Amino acid sequence: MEVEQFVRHFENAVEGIEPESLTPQTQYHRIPQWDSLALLCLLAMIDCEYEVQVPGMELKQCDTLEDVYKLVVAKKALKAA
Amino acid sequence: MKPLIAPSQYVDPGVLALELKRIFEREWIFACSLHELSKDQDFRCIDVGNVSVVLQNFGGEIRAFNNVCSHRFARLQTEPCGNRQLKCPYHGWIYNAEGLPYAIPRKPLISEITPQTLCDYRLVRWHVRFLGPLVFIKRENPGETLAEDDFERQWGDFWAPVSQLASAFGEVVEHTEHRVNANWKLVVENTLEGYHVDCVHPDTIRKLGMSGLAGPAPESAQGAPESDAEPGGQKASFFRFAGRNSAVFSPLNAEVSARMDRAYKFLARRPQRIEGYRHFYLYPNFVLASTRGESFSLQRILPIDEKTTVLTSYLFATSGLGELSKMELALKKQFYRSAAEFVQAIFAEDAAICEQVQRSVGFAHGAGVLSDEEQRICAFHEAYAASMNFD
Repeated sequence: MEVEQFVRHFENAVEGIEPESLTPQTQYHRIPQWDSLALLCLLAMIDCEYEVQVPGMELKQCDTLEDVYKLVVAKKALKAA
Repeated sequence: MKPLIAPSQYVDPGVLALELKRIFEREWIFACSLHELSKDQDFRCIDVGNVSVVLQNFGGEIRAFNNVCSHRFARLQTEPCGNRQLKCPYHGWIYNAEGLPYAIPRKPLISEITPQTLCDYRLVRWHVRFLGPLVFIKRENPGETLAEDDFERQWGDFWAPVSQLASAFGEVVEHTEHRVNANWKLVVENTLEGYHVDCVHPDTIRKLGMSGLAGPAPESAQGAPESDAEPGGQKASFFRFAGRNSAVFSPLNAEVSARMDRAYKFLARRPQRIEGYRHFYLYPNFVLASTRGESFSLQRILPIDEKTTVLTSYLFATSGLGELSKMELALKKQFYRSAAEFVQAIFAEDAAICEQVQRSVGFAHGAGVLSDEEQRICAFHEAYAASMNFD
């Protein structure tokens, strides 16, 4: 599933996360590694892998990694339109 | 320590008029980045007090002049920057790299202009010098000979470390101008002390974990980036002074630094890998700061009037990172975007407090006092008093 791939990208991008330790339902902002640096790494991963920009403010509305993934998909659709 | 600048000198238009003559028309002033003047006929105008100065590329030579036509006193370049020859929009006089009008429409009708008198119509020139990609100017005064190393000497012992930093500048990440409703000296003084950080910057600078003042600077720390990496286990900030200039070197929270290194591995290739944060002040109005040699923040502080200042800021990335992968490029973009947002947040916080002070300084009942953490303000006051010939 593409959302699973998104979770793997997230694990790679943010320092200190064990591979395959997270799920789409993970509340990313509650993991111990989450801080302002992790946020920048997540934004960079989204830019690099999905070629869309996600404002930090919109990210704050997302609770789980799946929510973030859906936001990215919506941004991609908007860009393609 | 007692301040040498009286509260009334922050609100008096007569004092500002003297400052423009005795300081801003006599000192080296940071003008712009060379990137803005890279092509033939590129120009950039800046206002130094009430004087408009134009910097212009003449076939690769950067020259600076008063931006006023010698004929009927129109501004030669009317936009802040652009690309056009140095031509008066009023009657079409065109000036060359020497500041001489070499093309004058219907010249035979102006009998006063002959080959012998042409020099009388030369534009007022400003000296131009470079610090890496930064352009500095100083007004030419008639009869005054400028020593070849006048600009370097202005920096004193800071010339070597600052030149090293400037050699590492990469692209301009951000260039902004802020209007601050405060006297220019208040804005300068605010940049010279960290005493206010806890109160004014609790959510920005303080989170970087910068420590307070340790005391006198260790003798081994001569201001050179390679020589003062926390000498002798130094873990607190310390000052350096070089003539009228001053600097503060502050270590950063070690844990934050280590995590930055792990998150931004590509920055390990940067040419200036300095420890912590360095902040250099060049009298009268220029600031150069760098965090770990990863980014370089510059500010020029120029008065508009006695209660209004323009703070011009440039943020440079580091050069020398080599070829970056797609993910590294994305990280770099986020890193510098975040750095620019951080700088802007600090400016907003500083502008707000300076404006507060400006509203009350005119009602001060005493001369005030300076703490040991404000030694750099004291040095500024001494240099200022010397420039102004105050007793």
